[in-house]
Amino acid sequence: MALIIKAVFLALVFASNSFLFFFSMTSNFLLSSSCSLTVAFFVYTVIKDCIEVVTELNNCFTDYEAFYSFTTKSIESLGRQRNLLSLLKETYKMSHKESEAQLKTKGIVRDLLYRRTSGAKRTNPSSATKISSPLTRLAFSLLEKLNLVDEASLRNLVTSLHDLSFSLHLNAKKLREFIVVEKLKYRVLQMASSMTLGLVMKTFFAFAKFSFVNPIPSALVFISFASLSITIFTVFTCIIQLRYPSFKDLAICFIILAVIIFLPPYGYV
Amino acid sequence: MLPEHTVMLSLLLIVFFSLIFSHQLKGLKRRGFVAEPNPLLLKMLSIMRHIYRNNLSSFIALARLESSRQILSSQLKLLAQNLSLGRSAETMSFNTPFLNLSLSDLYTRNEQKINELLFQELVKDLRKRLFTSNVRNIVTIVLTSITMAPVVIIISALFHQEGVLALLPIIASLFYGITLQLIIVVLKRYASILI
Repeated sequence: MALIIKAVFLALVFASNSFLFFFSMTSNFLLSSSCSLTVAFFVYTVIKDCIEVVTELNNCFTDYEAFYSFTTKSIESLGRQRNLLSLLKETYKMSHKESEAQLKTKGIVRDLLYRRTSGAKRTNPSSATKISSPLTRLAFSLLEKLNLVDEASLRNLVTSLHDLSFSLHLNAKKLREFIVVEKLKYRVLQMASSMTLGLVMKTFFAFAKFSFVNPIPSALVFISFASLSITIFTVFTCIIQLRYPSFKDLAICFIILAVIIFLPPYGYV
Repeated sequence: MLPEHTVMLSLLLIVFFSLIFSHQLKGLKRRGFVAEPNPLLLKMLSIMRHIYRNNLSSFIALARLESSRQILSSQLKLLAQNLSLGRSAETMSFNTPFLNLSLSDLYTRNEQKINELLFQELVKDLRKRLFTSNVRNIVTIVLTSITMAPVVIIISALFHQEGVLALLPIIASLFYGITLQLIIVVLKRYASILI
């Protein structure tokens, strides 16, 4: 539901910008409205797909954390337990609901225990225990299906899985740090593009006073164009940083744009 | 060209780009985000082989793995079928069934090299390639174009050629299309790492 609301909100922002843009060019209300509605529908489809993929990739990060947490706890209790089932029970008892990853670990181990003991699948597994990462899903699926694991094999299995999960966790952690650095770079680019557009519009206002026969509609075209391009760029930067565009992101760009146009020393022309 | 025509043309472009993007994104999801050959996939295969050598019942577990659309599962199920052809762990070292699998074959031939390349090297490689080469250059070009295009149009409009303003919707729709393609490029790179 939250996903649909976000997609609808962004599609409406796009549609309102497009409507202003088209209407300032054609002055044909029907044409502008119909084009804007079509744009809204297609942008909604695109944004919804993007949010789904971003959610799935973000879930991969949580899966790696949960997998790492699970294997770390298993390693800790390996000295006390001699078979897989008792190891899973011990791990389940050690899991606390401290974070999203911990909560997921607890849920996954609970489902795993249920399947191993009863041999049946849960009809309605909760969304909190749904695993997005194929590699993590495969590892837990292997644990579910393994039988006749002796003590030596169990030790090898858990050590191997811990080795894998540690590497995955490290990889994901570094990737997140990398995304944070990129976020700052794109924020600078975003501000620079907003400021440039604001300056261009200001120049337009200054010269239009002397040259244009009818400058107001042209000024509207520029303002709408600037709004639309800023919106597209904001959504783009948010998606490639694997997060959702918020109203705050859009507001920051428009404030920068407004400040460049209206504030002294240039003043409103 | 009249403004109405450019508005309609830009609308068609937006629809066209959106459809292409949705199609590409569905293709990306269908393939299951796993790029071949992937070092993580090879690492998982090595673990499976290790487990098999220590526990003969593990091939049963491999064969019973949930079927999925992921390449990873299908490769491992194939591995399980090869393992379950009546061979024991001892005979495996002499008559290895891994030769039938391209990925496993790749692993056995380049074991040392692949181990060196795993995770840390992958992250280093990622740092170099993810945004540095293509994407950042394309973003810079697109941003420069999007900020320079109105300047050219303003100069033309100042010479009383207000008709050029009608080009702006086309520029906006092209910007939209290029942006969607950039998103696909970046998502593909993320997806090949986060398996």
